[in-house]
Amino acid sequence: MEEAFEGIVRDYQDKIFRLAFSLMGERAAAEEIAQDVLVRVWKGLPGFRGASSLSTWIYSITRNCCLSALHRAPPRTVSLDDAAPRHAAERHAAAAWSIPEPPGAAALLNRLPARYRAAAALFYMEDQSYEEVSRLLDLPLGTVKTYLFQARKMLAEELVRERVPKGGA
Amino acid sequence: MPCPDFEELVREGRAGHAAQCAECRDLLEALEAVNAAFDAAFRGVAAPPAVAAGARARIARESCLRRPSPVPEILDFIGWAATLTAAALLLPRFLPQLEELLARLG
Repeated sequence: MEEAFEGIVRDYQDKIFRLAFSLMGERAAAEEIAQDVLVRVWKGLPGFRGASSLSTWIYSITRNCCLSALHRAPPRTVSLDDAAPRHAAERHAAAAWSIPEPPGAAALLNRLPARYRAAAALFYMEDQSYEEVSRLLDLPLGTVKTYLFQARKMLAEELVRERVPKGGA
Repeated sequence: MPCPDFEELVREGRAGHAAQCAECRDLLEALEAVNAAFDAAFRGVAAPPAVAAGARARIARESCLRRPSPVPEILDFIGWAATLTAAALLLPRFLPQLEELLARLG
């Protein structure tokens, strides 16, 4: 059991941390969640019968831990599209991003609707693999591609709009 | 020439329509800036060592708490020891009477 657990720590701790970081929006919270997930995995390992793959099981524990944590803590900021009725997971992912460096990335992410943020951050953490983002967030591949396309288009257009007045002045 | 949609513009890159259109060139530049900012912020993000260390420490603490208490085992041992001692003390006292009873019946 201990060997199996150490193998999981070795193989999955980075994935768990990155998924938690993408959903929570800050390192300290992601660290805490990742620890919690590893403890839950250790407790659940004797009962794990392989009904789903090990990675699916671990990622679902991570997502659930993040959603519970986001439920407990109210969002630090309210995004512009909070008024619209949205999926629970998207609503709970409304916490603003807080990362120390570079400042541009957090500012950019915070402009995105909540449902795009985790996908966008995770895409760059996972070496731009759509498949990996789809697996980690448990979203269809097509949805991930759409989210990322929309997110990048939105941000690029916004940056261009911001540059125009500066150029004209 | 009309501007292509965003997807096509990205596919073509700077050498395509953007080479003649300043607006589309700006959009591509902005996209590159977005990519660069996210790449710098998120590439190679890994779990800090504190994650695994903290989890192991919590597991060790919880293992200690969940270790079964030895008290029931000790009480069980004392009970059996008392029963056997009582049997060893009482049996010689009743043995002659038992033998007599068996002889009368036999």
